Amino acid sequence: MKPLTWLTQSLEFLGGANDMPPVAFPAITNALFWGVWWGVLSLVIYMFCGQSSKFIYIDF
Amino acid sequence: MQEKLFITHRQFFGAILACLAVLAAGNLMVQRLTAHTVYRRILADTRASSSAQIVALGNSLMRSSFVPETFAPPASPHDQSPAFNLAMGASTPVEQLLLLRAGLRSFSKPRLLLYGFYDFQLTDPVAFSNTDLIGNHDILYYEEPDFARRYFLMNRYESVAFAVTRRLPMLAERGAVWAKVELLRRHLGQQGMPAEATNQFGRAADFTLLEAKNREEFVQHCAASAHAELNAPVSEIIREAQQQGMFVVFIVMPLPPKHVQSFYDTPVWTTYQKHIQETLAAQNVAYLDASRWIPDASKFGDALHLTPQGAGEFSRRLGGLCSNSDNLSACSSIGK
Repeated sequence: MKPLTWLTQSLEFLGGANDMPPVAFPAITNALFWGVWWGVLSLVIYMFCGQSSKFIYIDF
Repeated sequence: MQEKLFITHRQFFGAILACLAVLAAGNLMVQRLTAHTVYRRILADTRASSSAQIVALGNSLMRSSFVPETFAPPASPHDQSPAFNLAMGASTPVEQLLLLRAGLRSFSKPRLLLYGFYDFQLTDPVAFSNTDLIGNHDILYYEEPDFARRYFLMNRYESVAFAVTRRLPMLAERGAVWAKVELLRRHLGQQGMPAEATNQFGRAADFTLLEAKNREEFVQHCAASAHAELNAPVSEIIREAQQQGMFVVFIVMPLPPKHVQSFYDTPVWTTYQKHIQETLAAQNVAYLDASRWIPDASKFGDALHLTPQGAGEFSRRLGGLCSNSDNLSACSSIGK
């Protein structure tokens, strides 16, 4: 597998787009890691999900 | 199916708990980072200006146009001006009512209220969906929310969302976070592009969106509002100010010549304004038309707001008419 394909599939797995990791992806069984990881992803989504808001006044 | 699971239920719920802990930390962080949002700063300034006697209230037009020190210079360099700017950008009469109530709790001897408005601010009903409540509208979540809720329209589903949102700073203050991201997005989008004109409130070009699209639309709006009553929050602003013994003056704020020529130089606007004058007069409220006070377009920074130079000119002229609270007969367009 090409490194770029492996990286793409790894990111898709980490982002939840794919259920299965690519071959040779390190098995992460630590529940704490996954909890924190999904919490961080939720915060990133929260920060960037306001794009459709019409900001006329921006200097809040 | 069962053999595909590679974490146990215990691990799964542990992960959920860890995720919630991160979100709770994010919630706390947002709460801390937004401890000095615009409305909180205005309220803090209000508490430090208990001796103010003249209060300016309104939206960004009044915020950017009213300079208390120019309107009524302090008696000595160490004193505060007797005037105070309680106006807030991106606010409707409901937020302005909340600010006034907070101000009236702080000011010991308020005597005069100058309320700035433009277009149909006095008669259009205030309606929100919960998603509208970003930016300075966040005051609605915190400052007397149950009282404020009586003065704006919101359907039942949105009301439930409102009740939930106001209890979670991460949701209530989402606009402050999104605004930072939007600023970053704009900064990146500006790379290699000609600089866009901005002012204290945002991109100058954006404020054209707050005007009517064309004269026909404005005329239709005028006709529809020709006999409209004052909306509920504006009526309450008048009632509460007068209850405190304040003289109330409503001011049509200065607007650029283009806005005046396109919209205000129309017979229907004159008719609508006559209706507004009569409605206000019936409640002992003075009316002052300052919409044509600044005929120089270069003294406006965008489609609505004065530049600092224009604001100084407006405040000086308004001060000449209204800063003497013992003689306010000049502070009205009626009879002139």
